[in-house]
Amino acid sequence: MSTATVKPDPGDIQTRLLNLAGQLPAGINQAALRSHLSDLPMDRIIQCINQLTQSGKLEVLQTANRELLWRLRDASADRRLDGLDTKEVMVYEQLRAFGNKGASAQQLQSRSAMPQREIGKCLNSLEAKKLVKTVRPVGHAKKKIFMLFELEPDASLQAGTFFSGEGFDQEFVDVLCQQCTLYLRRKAEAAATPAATTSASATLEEVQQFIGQSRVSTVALSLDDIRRVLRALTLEGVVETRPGPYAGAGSSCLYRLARSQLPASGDFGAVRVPCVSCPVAPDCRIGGEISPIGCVYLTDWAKGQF
Amino acid sequence: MAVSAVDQITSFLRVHLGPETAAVFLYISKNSKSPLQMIMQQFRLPSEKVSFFPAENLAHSSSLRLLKYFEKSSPSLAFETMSTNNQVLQMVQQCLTLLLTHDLLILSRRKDSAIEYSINWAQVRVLNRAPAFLCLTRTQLGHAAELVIEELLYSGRLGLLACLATVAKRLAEEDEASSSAAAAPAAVDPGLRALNAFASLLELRFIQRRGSVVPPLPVADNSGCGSGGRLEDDDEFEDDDVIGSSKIYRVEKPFAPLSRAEREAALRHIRESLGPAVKLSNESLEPPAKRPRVAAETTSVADARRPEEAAQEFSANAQQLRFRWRDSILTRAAASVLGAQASRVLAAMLDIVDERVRLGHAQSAESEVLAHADIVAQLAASAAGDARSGLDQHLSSLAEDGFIERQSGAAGGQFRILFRRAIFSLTRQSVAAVIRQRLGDKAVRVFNALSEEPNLTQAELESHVLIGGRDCKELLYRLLVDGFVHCAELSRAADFMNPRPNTAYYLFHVNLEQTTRKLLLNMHAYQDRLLTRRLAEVATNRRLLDKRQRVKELLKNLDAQISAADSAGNSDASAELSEQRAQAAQLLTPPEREQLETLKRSRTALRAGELLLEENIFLYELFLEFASQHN
Repeated sequence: MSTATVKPDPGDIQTRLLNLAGQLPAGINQAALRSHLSDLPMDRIIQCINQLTQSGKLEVLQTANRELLWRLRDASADRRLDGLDTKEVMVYEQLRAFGNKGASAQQLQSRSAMPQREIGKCLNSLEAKKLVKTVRPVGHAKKKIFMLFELEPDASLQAGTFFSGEGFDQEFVDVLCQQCTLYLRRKAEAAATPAATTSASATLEEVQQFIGQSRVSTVALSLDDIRRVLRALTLEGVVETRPGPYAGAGSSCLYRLARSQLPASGDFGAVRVPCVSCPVAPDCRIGGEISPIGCVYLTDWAKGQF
Repeated sequence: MAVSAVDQITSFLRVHLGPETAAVFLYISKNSKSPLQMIMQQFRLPSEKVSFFPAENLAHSSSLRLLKYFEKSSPSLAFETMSTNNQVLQMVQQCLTLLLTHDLLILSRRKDSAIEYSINWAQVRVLNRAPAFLCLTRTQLGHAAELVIEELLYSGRLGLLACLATVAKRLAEEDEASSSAAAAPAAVDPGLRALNAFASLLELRFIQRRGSVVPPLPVADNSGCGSGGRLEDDDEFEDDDVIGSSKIYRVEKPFAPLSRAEREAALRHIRESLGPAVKLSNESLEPPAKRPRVAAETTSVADARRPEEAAQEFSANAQQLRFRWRDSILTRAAASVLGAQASRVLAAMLDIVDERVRLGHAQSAESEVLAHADIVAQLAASAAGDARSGLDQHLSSLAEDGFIERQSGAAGGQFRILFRRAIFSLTRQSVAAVIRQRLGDKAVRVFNALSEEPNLTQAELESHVLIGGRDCKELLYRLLVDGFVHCAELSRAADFMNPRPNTAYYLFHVNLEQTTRKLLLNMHAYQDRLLTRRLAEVATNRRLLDKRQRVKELLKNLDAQISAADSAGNSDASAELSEQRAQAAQLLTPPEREQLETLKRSRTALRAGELLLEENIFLYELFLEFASQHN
């Protein structure tokens, strides 16, 4: 009696693989292959899996543990991935997992265990096919983050409202500061008495509304943007905050023009003495080349002061 | 102590107390804790007399020249003319007496019971601040009070009669110079004004009663020194024979008000010194009280009297002046922020605290608890009665801005003045004002951001203050160089031995105490420069100032002669004198008048600048005092 080995039909193996993939939507790993297809030789299984991947019926994934998974490819899946080789597909799927935060080349390497060169080639290929794009995060101009082409970068990567193409837009911020100061000054002048703190103050929403109406910004400014501007003015001593009644979402204090705590134009104003702001004060010596006796700043100050 | 402070004091002593006293002061300032023997060593005569220094040198010698004399170990000044070391000893003792009268010396006793003398630098500071204290007194209590404080500050200690006579005389002269003949009869009695001002100052503890400093005993010639002789052995001198702390009597009640007898004696003395032209008050003149013996007449140690019986003198109370100055700063800050009414409420609270503070009370961070009813009563008693309306609102505003703190809400509330917090806040704002003046508004943002949130990296700071990277870096580094912010390095590498810029975090923060110390030194330097400039301008225009003085005296003499001629009915002489007066008035040419006017403006501006700096220096010193208490 002859015991000839019956070679399994590749079509049968592929059918069984597809059925198994349908049963395991999360994907088939090697353990599942051994348990469900134990009667089939592994080399034949792998050969069929490669054929199915190339034909686009299965897609290969890699888990965080660097374990390979094969999953049924959705019929409506992105046809743009047709023609990509396995490595490129792997890289693409990993970037999909990172979402709108993207990943650097180093992160991709650590997840996939592929050589850096291979990952670089895959990313270049995907970029050329406009499947992936490069984003430079704020504060790290030399760093490259890769993400899927159709995704919007996360806020942590974006520069923000106060940034333009050339970096931080100081002029725009200064204009916003001036407008906020102007609004608060009008409120203070319109108040009945200086002690009427409520009528002389404004909420965050009121300031936002004024800025919106003044059309100094082409983009809509959020409450957080306005809060940051008012915070900067508070640090500068132009604006002060007071606890106020809850007046709106995210606003729990009132803003008003600051009254300087130092007497106006200082009788407390040692700053009026020119030596305080003199650019050559460190070099001033009695009897030296720069000395108080011949100082033109003191002469002009004495003439103009009294 | 800044060099200029020593120079200023030395100049003051030389003018008011004589160059010898200034020389002794300088020596003790350079050699702290000097016993009398060491001081004598500097002035003892060598075996042969040195050459006599002409008098002109004494009048114009600077403090540096005096110091040079010491360094050469050659006797100087009036010591030159002395032939015996006894005379030198007497002179040194008199100088020490004068310095003690001004509270410029601190006495201490060594283990061998010898007395050592050191300079009381706190009092030196008080004398240097005299212009600021006079300004404060004039603002709060009027011109008469200012003159009283001036006399007491510059004389050290004065008796009641001497002080009031001088002040009344000055007031009378000012009245005569400023008012017209028609207005003169209506002027308030200068003696009464001086007396009332004196009584107010005593009641408010601006001045205090002090015991007299007993002068030294004369040393007999047969004590072993001999005329023309030389000290063979310094051990013959005993320090107990000279100034000792036991000789300076303490007064039990330094702020006891003027008694009726003292007031009457004062008014009588003023009338005698000013003459019958000045009207007295309607106080009845009782038989004069037993005249207190003047301390200078005491010649024997055994005849020492108890404090109550010894002649009492008065001196300025520097501690109270400092407290009042501090209060003035706080009330002005409150006025600028919250308005005049709130400022008056704070002033009333400060007055209550002042009444409760006893002598020797140290600078406290917070006041006692003040009840709402006490504040209302104080406002009613003061001229600020209208501040009672809206009192609760003013108190809430003061609490919001950190001047006071509400302790409880019962019975209207109880409050406490927060001196430390208020001074800290004012200091921080003063430093911010300096930064704003030097580096601009954006630098103030950086400073305040780091004050509120310390230990930020540059990147974090940029997002806080909304300043671009390059500008923020430049401002940050300029603040770092000027000492307004400080930097701490935190290495990222495991190798802490060789930190490199790209392997370390740099965290920036504000250390207000350190910044204030640096600014304090700078303020002293700026004050020194303004003083130097002012003195230089006076020196440059000395000839013109002398000419103006001579013209003024000439005109005054001519005016006296004209009025004498008018009263004698001699119209011809009067006309001639008037013509002479008109010619004398032309001695100063218009360009010279303009130059004098410019000089006056310049000196006024420079003096005002010195006062502004002094106030800032005082604020920083208060802050550092509170900061050291906290530490």
